[in-house]
Amino acid sequence: MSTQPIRDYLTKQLLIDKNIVTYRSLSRVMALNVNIAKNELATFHAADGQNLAATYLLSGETLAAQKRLDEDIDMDDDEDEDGEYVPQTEILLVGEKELESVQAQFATLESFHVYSLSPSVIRASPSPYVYAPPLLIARQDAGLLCTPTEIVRELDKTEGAELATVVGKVVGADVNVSTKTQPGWAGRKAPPAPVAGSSKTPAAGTSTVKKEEDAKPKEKAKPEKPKATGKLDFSKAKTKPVKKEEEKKEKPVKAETKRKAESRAPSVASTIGEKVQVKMEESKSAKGKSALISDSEDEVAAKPAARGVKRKSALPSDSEDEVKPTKPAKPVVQPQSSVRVRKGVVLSDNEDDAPAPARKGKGKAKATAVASDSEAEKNLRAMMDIDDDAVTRVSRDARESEPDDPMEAVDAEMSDGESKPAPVKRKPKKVIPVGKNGLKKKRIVKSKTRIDEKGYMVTEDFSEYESVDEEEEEPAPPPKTKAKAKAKSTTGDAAPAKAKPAPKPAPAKAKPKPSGSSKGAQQTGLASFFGKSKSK
Amino acid sequence: MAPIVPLATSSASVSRPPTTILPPTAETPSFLITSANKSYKHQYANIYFVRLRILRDVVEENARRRWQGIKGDPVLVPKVLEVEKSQLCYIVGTAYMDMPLKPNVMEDIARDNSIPPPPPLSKFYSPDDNIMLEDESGRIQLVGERIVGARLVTGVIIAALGIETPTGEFEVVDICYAEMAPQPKQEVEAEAKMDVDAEPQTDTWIALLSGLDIGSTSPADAQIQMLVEYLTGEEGGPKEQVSAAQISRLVIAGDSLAPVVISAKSDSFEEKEGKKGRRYGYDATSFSPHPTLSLSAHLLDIGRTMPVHLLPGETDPSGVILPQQPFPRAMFGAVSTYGSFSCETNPTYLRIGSETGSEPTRTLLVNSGQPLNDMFKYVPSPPNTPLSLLESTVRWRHMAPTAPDTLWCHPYFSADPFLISQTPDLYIVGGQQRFGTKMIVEKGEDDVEKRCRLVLVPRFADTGTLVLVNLRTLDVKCVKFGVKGMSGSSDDRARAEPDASLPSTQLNPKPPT
Repeated sequence: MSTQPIRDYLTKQLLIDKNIVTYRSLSRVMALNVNIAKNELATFHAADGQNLAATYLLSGETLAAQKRLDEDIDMDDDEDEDGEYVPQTEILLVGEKELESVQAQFATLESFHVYSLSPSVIRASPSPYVYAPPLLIARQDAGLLCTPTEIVRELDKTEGAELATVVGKVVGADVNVSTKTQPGWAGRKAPPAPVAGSSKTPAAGTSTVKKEEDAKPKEKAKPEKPKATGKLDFSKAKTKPVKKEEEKKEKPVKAETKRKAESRAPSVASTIGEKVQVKMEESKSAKGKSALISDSEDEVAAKPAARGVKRKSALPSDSEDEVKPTKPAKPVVQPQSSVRVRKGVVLSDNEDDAPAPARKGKGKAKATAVASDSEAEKNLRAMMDIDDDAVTRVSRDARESEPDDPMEAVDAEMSDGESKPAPVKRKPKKVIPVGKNGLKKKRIVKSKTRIDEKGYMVTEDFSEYESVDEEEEEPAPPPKTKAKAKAKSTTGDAAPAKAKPAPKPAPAKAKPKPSGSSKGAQQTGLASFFGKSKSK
Repeated sequence: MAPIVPLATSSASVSRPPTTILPPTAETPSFLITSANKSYKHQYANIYFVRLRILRDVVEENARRRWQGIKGDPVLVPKVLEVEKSQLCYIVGTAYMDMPLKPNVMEDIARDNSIPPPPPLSKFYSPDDNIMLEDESGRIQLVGERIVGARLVTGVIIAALGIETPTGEFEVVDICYAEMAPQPKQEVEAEAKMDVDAEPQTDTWIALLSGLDIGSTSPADAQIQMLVEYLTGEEGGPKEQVSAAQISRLVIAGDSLAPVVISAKSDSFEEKEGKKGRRYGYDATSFSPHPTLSLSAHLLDIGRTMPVHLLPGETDPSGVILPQQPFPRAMFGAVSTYGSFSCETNPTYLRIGSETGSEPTRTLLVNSGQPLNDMFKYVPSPPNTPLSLLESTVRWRHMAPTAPDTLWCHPYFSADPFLISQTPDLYIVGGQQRFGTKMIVEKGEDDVEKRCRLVLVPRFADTGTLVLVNLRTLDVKCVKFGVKGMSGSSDDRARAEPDASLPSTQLNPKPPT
């Protein structure tokens, strides 16, 4: 009955390797139905297994259970709380030595098959140090039967579903492998209220969903529309203004992707791409500096003032103002970008606090870019995933072009914005330098010189930094003009305001104006940085 | 001896009935502790307050109906302290058991730390216990045969009918509970089908399991192995395989892992020897003895064939306060990639519906046994059994009344999640010593029958018992896995030697034709 390969396998395992073979391991190795494997074991045992020990599996209803049932009926009143009688199937693993006696215990024997064959009777050697009750010893013995399980698991793992059907496993239709939590399951976990979803599983679910959606854009990056749709979905969740901005954003992204993928229309794409890049940088910088930048325009005025006051206590007011501009000096590109970005940066912060309203007021493109950190991140991710090389190229281009653009943009903005917008812009600048670390203070020393140049400044503080002044004086001139222009543009209000900063009381207005000067200082600082390098 | 009959190998493919899990409802809420209520700063008094506020109306209504026309015309006294002497009346409040043996935090603080604390008692019950009834106004002591005979535990909302005695105690004549919570109507439909659809082959069953105790010093490896084989539908003859194929889900109600035993150093030698002796079949190179890995492997074996719901339990590596939060999926390795494998909170509601819609939706309330085991300490056990106590919790409409008192639970502020606001079809409690089941039925006001199947799931490591429940009829059956005669006692072993040489003659299994 048994085929030669099976016989060979059993012979090798049992007689040569002295391993235990269970019906499961046989069925897995030879890809048999478990019932066939059980029969094969019985056949082999009968034919060749004279020296082999068999373990049997019996199932059915035992006499003991039936007896208990009778007792229960008799003594019903005694333990009425013990519950109902329930049919009980007993499945027993029995060594062949006790097979007969165990068989006698079964009232009805429903199945009876060879569970395993082993080279000798399965018996554990008890530890001499530990008393083990008979039950425990029996369990240990039986534990040996679990050794072939490793083979089974290994094969189950590698062969998977096909083997499961061959072997005769009953696999439920609703068993599925997925990295994400099953929707029904996750949904069930989530309490009805959406807020409750913050719990782990729901959160995981949402994150996976997000990832999925992120993944979609990646896959579809080259075809533009799918990407757009994916983003639109996100935007839907947000307010309408955001949507528009996002759409705008999407376009640049698309352009970039196109560029990378198809390398076409470089001129148009490059500008758009640059913008995107700038935005992305902004978003990054915004994140990093978020602490520095005041949250919203309205708050900007108040907060910087408070900070300024603190600083004043430590340092002269003028020095503070100057300090701010110096900070940007190090990241040459960034400060400028920040200037240009400023709206955007501020917007981004606003978004964090109150997304919808902030965007409206400020620059569209920038606002969109920074629209939300998450958005920016997503875009970033998408872009990065699409093509790292391409992204880097774009960034280079952007940086090269940036210095000019941002500066111009700033000037333009200044002129356009006239009196009111300018001070607002300046305020955020102030804040930024203040927020930075000790390093910035060093820069501050340089900035002080600039203040002197403007002539608005109070003189006292400068003397300390004189040496620094000398260095900066050279670069200062170009900024001067800008700063002055700005100051002029700001109209008469600006001048008195600037005058005020000198006295420490410095109301909110006073500070912004100094900040304006600081702006000029920033630019000058940048310019000076470049100028120095050039001159040297 | 019956010869081995070759098994029928005609693989008439059996398939598992698929079922779906439905989302939670307001009556069967999720027990996840979300960020909304993840605060430990609240006082536990809130739980009692909320519980009393919610159940008071129900209990009052029941009490009114029950004691309406009786002689003496009792009236409801809204506050327990306003009871008037020698006037028949009834009061509603929270039962509080004043027990000398109950753990007391003040005693804990006052205890001399140089002396190891006494081991926790298996029973708080003693003849000196006092039963109090309290509400917002204060407490009154309850006395009388009736109240002593009732199995009360701390935290149950009751109405007590009686008279205040001259000594200021309240002599109880009768008491009244909230009784079973309403149950959504669908039994009629199910009943009707029960008669018509007499084909048992198509019924959907679920399997219940508790106390695998993997990693204990006396592992039930073989039984667990047999269990896995049974559930996957490989074990036994065609009949077993068919019945196994009807199991659509497995619910593991806690205690899957044995508690980690920290042995004293003096025992280390013996311990080592013991472990060595016990770890049969564990080859470190091919098999990790790590309990979690072992459990994950079993879960994977089962999880490949059916959905598995895993609850943490008392001995599991999870928080001790109820509701215990789900295990992190990742700790179970490969099986966590199955969407059909889910980690549940400790008390949890599962609403199971059949995909075909041919069977009624069943609501399961599952916990791992801590509430019941804790309540069981309050009552004298000869008259009381876990099953009777479990039945009481359904009538109290509260699954863990002892919760803030002796059972640790999360300090909920505005809710008492352990209230049973909807009677489940199946109330499953794991971590029990013995199997037990009972169908409790109650006729509601409008003749609507409320039915609840109580199931005590015994610890598998001790009993080898797997409980199966028919989702259509709510019938229960058990499958018991055992090992016999592998070489029992040492006497056996001595005798085994000669026997081993002639197994074939002794057994003489006839070769199948």
